Amino acid sequence: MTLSSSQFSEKPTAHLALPVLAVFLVSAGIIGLELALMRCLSVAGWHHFSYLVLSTALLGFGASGTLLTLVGPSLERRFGISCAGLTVAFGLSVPLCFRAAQALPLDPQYVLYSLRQAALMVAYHLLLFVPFLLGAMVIGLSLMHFSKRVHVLYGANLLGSGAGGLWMILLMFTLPEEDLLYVIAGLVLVAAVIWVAYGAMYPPATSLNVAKGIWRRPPARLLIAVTGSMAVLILLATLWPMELRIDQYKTLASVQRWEDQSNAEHLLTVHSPRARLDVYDSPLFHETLFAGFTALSPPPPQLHILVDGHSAGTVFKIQSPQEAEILDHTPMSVPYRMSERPRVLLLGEVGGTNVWLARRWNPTSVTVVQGNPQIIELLNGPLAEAAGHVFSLPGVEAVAADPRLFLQAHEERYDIIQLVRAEGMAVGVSSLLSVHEDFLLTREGLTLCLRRLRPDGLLAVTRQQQDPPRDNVKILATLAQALESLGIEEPGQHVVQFRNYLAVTTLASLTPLGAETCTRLSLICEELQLDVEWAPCPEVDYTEQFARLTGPPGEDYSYYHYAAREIFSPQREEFLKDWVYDVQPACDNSPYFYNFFRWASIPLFQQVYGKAWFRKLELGYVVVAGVLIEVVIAGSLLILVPLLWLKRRSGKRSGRLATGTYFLLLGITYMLLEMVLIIKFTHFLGDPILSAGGVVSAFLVFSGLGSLVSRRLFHNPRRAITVAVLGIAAFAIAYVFILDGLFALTAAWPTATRFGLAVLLASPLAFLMGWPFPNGLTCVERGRPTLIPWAWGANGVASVAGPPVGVLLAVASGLSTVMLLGAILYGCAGLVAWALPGARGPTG
Amino acid sequence: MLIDRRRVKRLAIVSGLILAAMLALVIVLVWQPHVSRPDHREKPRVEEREEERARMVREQIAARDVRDTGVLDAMRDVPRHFFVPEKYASSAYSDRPLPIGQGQTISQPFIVAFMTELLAVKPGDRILEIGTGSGYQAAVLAELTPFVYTIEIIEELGEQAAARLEELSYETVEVKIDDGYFGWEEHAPYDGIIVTCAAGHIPPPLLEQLKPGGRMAIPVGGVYEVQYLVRVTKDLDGTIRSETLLPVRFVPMTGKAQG
Repeated sequence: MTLSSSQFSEKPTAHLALPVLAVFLVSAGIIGLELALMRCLSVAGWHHFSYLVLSTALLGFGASGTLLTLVGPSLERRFGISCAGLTVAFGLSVPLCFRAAQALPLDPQYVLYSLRQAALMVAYHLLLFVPFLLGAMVIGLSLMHFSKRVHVLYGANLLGSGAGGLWMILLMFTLPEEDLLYVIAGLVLVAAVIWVAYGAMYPPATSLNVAKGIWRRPPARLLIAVTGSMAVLILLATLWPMELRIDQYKTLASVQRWEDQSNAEHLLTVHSPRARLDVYDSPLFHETLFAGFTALSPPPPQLHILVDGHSAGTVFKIQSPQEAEILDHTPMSVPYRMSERPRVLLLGEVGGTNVWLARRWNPTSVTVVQGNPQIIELLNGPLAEAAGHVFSLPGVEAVAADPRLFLQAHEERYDIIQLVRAEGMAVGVSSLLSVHEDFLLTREGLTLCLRRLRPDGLLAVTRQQQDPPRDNVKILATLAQALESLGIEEPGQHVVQFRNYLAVTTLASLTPLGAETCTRLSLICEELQLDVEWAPCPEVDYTEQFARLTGPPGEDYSYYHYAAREIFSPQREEFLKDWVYDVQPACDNSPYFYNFFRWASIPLFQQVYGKAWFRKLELGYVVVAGVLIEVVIAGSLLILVPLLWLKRRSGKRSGRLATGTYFLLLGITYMLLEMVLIIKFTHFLGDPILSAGGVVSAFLVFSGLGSLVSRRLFHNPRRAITVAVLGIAAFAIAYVFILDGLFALTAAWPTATRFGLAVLLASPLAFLMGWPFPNGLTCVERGRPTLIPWAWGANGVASVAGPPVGVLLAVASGLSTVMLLGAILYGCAGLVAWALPGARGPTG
Repeated sequence: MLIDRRRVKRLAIVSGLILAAMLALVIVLVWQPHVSRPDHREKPRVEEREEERARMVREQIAARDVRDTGVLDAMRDVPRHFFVPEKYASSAYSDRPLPIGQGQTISQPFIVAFMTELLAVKPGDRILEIGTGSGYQAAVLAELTPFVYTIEIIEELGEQAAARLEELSYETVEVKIDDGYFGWEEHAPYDGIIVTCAAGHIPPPLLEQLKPGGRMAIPVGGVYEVQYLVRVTKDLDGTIRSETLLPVRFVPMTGKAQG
């Protein structure tokens, strides 16, 4: 006979306080762990690897449902002990599993070549999967045990998640990433104490021999176990501090090796939720910022700013622009050579080198815009003296703002606008480059840049060269569309592209380039040994190259010139469609400039490059697709295995299909809508911290409140679901049409006001999104309570699949499509809800 | 007047001695005796895994259009498996790079051969390598010319490479632990320079130390980034030119690849 949860005397309301608190803390710990691991893995490893590992780890949610389906009833008989034990295990596994994973001699670069490395990769994933499995089991078991009060427990889960996210983000400003793990473990062990207290105060019904037997042993042993665990944790934290094992190929690892050889000095480290910033000084730093062959002297001494272990910015240790002569040999110097006393705008400047470049050409003013305020604080604070006070020189103004928002909010015009951010990796919260949103390098973003130019002004975008050409072709195509959106019929007359052996610079102007400009440009390029790839100037010889690149067969010009010619011809669309990389311009609806992936090109790359074909790709898109495949395969197993078990136990007509479909849909759609709103709010607020910390937390909190309140508003769960999904669909569809316009209108508002507006916009949607899950579980509890853990697991799997589905769809079809899909799928869930077991009332 | 024969005789002897001394002086000043350097080709050859090396050259290098017979011979002769860590020795002749520790890798055999061929090394050329790593590239170069100078910034790697090269009888290779950015002025100018460590750009001092008519080979792009090879030449008038190279020509529009 299957023992149902009701036989364990579900406790009256007052006794929910301790489990609610424990679930709140465990939920906070789970989200905290997710965020902390994201930081740790981003610093220690490469973003693609981190994303892959974390996505696998989150499958612990799905696996918890599987396990609970199989052993949940047994655990429920000893509910208090089970939860206490699982929570202790969760707490201790956080630091121990991470340590063990770090100790593996894994080299991700060789996973495709070596079986041993592939096995180590699997082990790495499994180790990080364990804590999430254990934490999710606690939540799932609680939902099973208190199935009649699932709204309260689910509400506690969401509220705890929201609070945990906010708390972790605040902690990230003060603690190193690795130390966060011990703090999380401590919090979770406090939850374990609460479970022990609960178990002691409310033992299960003693009519069962098993329960009697268990509770003959006093819970004091459990308390000792928990206390002992806390002591172990404190000892671990004190005697065995956590250290991140940095991937040996990252710049940070190289610099640390130099430091061991006394060839580098670590100046400071700044921790934040955006990124970890490290600053090093070394005589071995020799960045020349794309200086060409005409530069015969070495660059000045310099510091480096590393972001999550990657080189992100160079700080010249100079006191005057005269010491930065090497910058005159960069392609970025060309617009300055063509201007007289320009007003300069530098978007995304990091170390101040472009300020020195501007200063060498006697500008009227220089405005620096940097989205990460900590960079500006560094250059105006501890690094100011070494950097020659570059951000506070006369005529220089440094503004902490998102570049796109700055352009929207300010109407000044400039003679030179330099997209410094395009010259390297984006600084800030960045997961996978190719699926990292960049609203500046979109058609709308570049159009806005062009609008801020004076009539003879120049927009300059410099990007490292690739072979075959990729990024710079996309820049050209995007500029062409941006110019056309301003009513310019022949964009090719307004654009110039030239390069040295390292980088390509593209200049765009609102006025067509005239003969005088052509002459000056020609002399400059000759002097700097730059190869012109496109210019609306007569007598440009595209075949004479200082830095020869491959081109179409039988031709002496490069593929850059070929691409430019096609882009400024009627064959543009055909060219963009056929190019081996995806170089279609990004737009605000699909702001993924750095995605160049094309499925159809894989066979060609494999044929040309053999096993090293993947090195020619920006792997972000591939990794996301890989994660989705992995989740589908692993998730299918996690969902199907318990299905077989349940079929044996509960007979044919058990409502499995409806239950599985409903909770799968909820898992995916919740994540789809949340993902789109995070991206849109990040763009609106201009700061991922405000978006992730503030808006997401608010989202979870309002969902939690919605869960708590929905039962009071509607006693009929089916009706509650119907109202919720209709409301969600209405809001989602409305937001597709009004959000962008609303953001544009309010872009100039103060940050605090915009934040308040964002919360106001998120809250009703979030409130309603907290209803379907607990009401669905209520239906299932009434009809087939044995399906509860399975539903929890299916929802967990789907919530892991949601983000990669969302990203791939957003890249392919745009954010609006994802939002609309979310609305439609919620509607489908509402329909499926009618078929849930118990939807029409209790069945026994 | 009678000629004093004895005086003439004495004069002749003294003149002869003076001439002989002058001749000896000239010989000492002008003639440079051949310094007995071990012939860089006459070294003990490692027979083990010869067949693997031969197959590597046949399938991975010659099959990809590396034609220089000197380079092919060098790749056949240098025992690559001694230059990789023990745990990777079984994969030493595989078509891929391998880690050697300290965040460095030993390049794929084809890349080593390809870059060596780019330098067009002749016997007697002076070659500078930046980034000794395991020492494998230096050993291959040393098969072609005795004058190989290599710099490594990581002390441990440099010392290990030096010991390894010595053990394998590549005594003509000189290894220095230093910042390779500034080259090695003492032995400049160079007929060829090869930069094997990840480089963001070509260091200006290396361009200075490249002989007019000389060649440089340098890969650009990091471990996980899109990479390409650049060959740099210095014209006789000092103008620097570069050429970005791919192993094969790429034809995106037609979707075909040309070998």
